[in-house]
Amino acid sequence: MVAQLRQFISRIGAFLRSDDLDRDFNEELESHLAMLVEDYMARGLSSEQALRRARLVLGGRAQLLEAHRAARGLPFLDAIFRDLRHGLRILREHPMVALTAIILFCLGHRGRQHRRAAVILLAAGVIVRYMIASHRASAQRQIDSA
Amino acid sequence: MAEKKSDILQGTLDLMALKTLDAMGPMHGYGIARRIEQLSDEAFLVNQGTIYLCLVRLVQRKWIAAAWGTSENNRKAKFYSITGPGRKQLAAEARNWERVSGVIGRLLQLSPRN
Repeated sequence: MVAQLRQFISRIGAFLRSDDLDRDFNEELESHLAMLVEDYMARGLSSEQALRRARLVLGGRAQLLEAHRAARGLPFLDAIFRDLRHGLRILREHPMVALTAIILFCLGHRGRQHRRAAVILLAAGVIVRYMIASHRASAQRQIDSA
Repeated sequence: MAEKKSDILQGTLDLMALKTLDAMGPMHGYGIARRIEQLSDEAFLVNQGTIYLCLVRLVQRKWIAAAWGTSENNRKAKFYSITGPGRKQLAAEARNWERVSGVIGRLLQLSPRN
């Protein structure tokens, strides 16, 4: 119980200082890699062979960093922030959808329940249609340019 | 103090790392990974980097502590050492393992019914 509470508090801390901890872990992996290379060279491998072998034995840097973040931090919050950033990017790329959605949701927010439901349905319909249309258009452009 | 036993391999790796630090004193990640590989015929680490996923769990539970220092070859390295709560956890885990392996041992000795 105590250990789990400690771990949870530690995870919140790790989530808040993710960049620092990434840097720290990168340094640690770098030092590990250097020690592996040293050992392989002492066993007679060339520096190039030793480095290749050491990278293989240590594992992929990107995957390790990702797994380390998940093990130490709050992976579900990471995922929510990633989705939010993705959503905002999509809205920036499709300003008309963003504008329509914002207007309709504002209207819906002010109305009674049944009107709200209708507005949300309408908004969903408009957005889906717009997405389909823009997707078709870009597919058509690809066919045309091929 | 009951930890979930959902991932036996993960728990085993934690125990191995704790025991290694208890027996050998402060070590860096490379040293711990090497030691576990030697003991286990490389069955527990997919690659040496995965030792850090285990170490970060143990640090978060305050069972081990980490500090940057200098290695035997004058290289900057992060050293891990077991703490008081870590020793207590190790003793509890060791007792648990002995009990489980005792049960399995007796189970496997049962002779088939003719």
